[in-house]
Amino acid sequence: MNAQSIFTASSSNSDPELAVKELKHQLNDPSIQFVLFFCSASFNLAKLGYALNEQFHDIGISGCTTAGEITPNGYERGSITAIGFSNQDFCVQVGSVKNLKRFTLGNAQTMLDQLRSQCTLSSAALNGFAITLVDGLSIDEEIFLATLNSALGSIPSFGGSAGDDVNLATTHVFFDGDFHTDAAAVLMVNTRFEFEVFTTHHLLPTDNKFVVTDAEPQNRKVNELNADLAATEYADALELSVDQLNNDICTLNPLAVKIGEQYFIRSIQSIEPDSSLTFFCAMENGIALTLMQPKDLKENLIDLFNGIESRIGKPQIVIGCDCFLRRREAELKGEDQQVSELLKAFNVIGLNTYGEQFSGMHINQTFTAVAIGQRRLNESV
Amino acid sequence: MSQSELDAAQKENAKLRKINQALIERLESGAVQLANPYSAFEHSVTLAEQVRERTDALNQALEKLNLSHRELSQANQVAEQANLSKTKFLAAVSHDLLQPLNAARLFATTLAEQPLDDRPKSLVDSMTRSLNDVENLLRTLVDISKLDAGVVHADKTNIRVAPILEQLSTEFEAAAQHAGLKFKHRTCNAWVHSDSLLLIRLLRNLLTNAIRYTKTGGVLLSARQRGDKLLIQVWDTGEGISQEDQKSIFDEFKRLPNADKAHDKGLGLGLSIVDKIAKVLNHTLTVTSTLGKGSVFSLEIPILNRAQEPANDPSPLHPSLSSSLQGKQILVVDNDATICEAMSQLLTHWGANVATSLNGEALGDKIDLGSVDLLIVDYHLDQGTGIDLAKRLLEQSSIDIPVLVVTANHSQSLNETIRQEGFSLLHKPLKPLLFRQRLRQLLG
Repeated sequence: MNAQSIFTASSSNSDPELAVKELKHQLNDPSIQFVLFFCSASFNLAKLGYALNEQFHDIGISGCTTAGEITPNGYERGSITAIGFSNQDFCVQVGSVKNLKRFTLGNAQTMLDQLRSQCTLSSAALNGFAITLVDGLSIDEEIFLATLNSALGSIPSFGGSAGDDVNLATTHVFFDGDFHTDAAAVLMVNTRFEFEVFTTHHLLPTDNKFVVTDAEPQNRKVNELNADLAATEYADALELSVDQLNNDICTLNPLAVKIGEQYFIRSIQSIEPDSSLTFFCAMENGIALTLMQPKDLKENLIDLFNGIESRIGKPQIVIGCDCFLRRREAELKGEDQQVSELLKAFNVIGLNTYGEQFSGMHINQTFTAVAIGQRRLNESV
Repeated sequence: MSQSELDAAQKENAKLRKINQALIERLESGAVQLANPYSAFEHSVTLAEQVRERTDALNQALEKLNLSHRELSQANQVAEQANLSKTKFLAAVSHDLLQPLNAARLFATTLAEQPLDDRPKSLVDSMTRSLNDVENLLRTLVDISKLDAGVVHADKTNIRVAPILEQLSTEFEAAAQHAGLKFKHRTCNAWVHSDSLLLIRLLRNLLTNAIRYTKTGGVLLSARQRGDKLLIQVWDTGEGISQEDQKSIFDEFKRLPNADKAHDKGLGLGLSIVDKIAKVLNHTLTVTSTLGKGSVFSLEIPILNRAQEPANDPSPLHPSLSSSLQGKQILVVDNDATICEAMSQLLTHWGANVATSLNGEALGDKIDLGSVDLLIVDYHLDQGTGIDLAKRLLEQSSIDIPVLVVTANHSQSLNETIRQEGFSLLHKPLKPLLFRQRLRQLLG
């Protein structure tokens, strides 16, 4: 049982048909029963979907569009990357959600019961985790995740919000042979290997605090902070004028909410002409936001990877959801190549996201992932 | 304070009021509303934190659970081992006991047929009865150990119920009479798919029990059709079984408190065997009972429809008893000298000419195989099996001699092997009546 059971592939060919053929060529092991892919939104998705169905017609396949790919060669754009799972050590089953707003607890329970019963590996108890791929512009992640999490029970989960190359227009999730919007895929992964689901960020709080005094929760929009125009108040804290604010400034100076002892980043999606701020996550009147300060992103990753390696050894693969704002930050600081090398060295395959998911939480500006170790669980325990 | 300072302070004050307002609003919305996206997020965070705390506790509990699970499975292994040993022990003991018992019974039968005075005659009768009891107990132990070992399988064929009930009635009428009870039976003309040997054994146990636990009144054995099922029932007018006891009567070594100890020869295994056989046969067994009135044990078997009934009944249960063994040449091979001796006495008494051998070696020199009418071999010989020996002897002989294999081994596969060779089979200990019938069949 020492045969390879995780296979990776990527193609930068912009022709969907040729790109998928290249993937198929790299994922030709007959034991592969499931393929998870991440593709740039720049592909002609209709053609890409057709090619995927054609090349992988006899196995399970799911994926989503990205705001950048993490491939076997590190950071890419305009490409497609994929992971093939061997049925020797993995069973992957996909649950599909086609209308995020109408997803009830009843739906969640039915879906998960089905996934649990289908997701079996001979002579092994369920040792699994769930991956969620959600439409990244649906603004329904929080409620969808809370509902799903109630039914997931003790199964660890993580995931990402699909991206669209930072166009902020439409993001797609692929399942049941099609690309969908207002949708989510829930992948149940059962494996014989040790694994660890984790999340990390490298931001520390400053003393600057804001209270949201006027919010439009249905639009994730904040009109006022501290009873002043949101953009003005934010710019003041940064000792800038509102005119000087842009997406890069927001990326480097994110806001966060503190719950318990933890800070959760709430990323700004855009500065609106009316000086309001739109976020990548839910907002509410009366919540307190803290201005955050980035520390060293690379160091944080290195510490994280060292910790994982000490617990489960060098992973054979890390399936990672890396916020696209982190990649942007690295680019702004001229560190993107180094981060790319770090991810590559630690066998990360994944995507740049419009938001990450961890244990039912919708979070921003994090690296959230699963590391799958080389050691199989002792099956007799 | 200047006017501008005052304006600024008022403006600041208005801002703080608004912030205060927003905070109060947020605080007062308090309870988690899952329909609200931010609250849903907050709820998930709290949940995740609780999960982290509980995961530790859970992991510790899991660790303990694993430990006790390991201990339990070890204990379970030991228990299974012990159970297996028990089963093996019982099988071995039963086998080793059946051998000498077989010899004792043959001697007793021979003795009983000698002209004797009344006093020795009654002693021999008592001895024969005691031997019967020993055999029945032993048989019960063998049955239980085999049922427990899971080596008993139903060999189902299409059978008629009536002859089975007739046979059992004949058998138990005398026993009931002896116990001062009435015995009735009511049969019906149905065919069922079952194993006749196991079915008879099951009913025999029920009837034995019914007679054992009934002091006055009677026992009824009845078969009647109910829908597409056949209901075979054993009714008695005994003490009855309380609701409480009905649950446990099928347990091993369970004897009812109202059993008459002085006359009770059972081990309390009868109903346990009945239950186990019913399971092997996949027939439904139920009991209804009223204290002081009596009990009804019912066995439910699906009835075959007319189309499935065989054209005619192939196996008459009562073979003719008329032919004689007079002057027949019988060769007995058994590695146990006592058995050889006992067989020789019994068969000689029945009028046959008997030659015996411990191993069948050099037999061809001693006797003319051509003149042998019947070969009786023990399956367990010191070297090889009785089957192999019989085949060798048949090859040496020019004519086809009927072969009767005698064994204490009740295994199904052996039965099959013997049947395939075209040999006849009897199990030890031999029952004189059955033995004599079989000899007549083979020689007739």
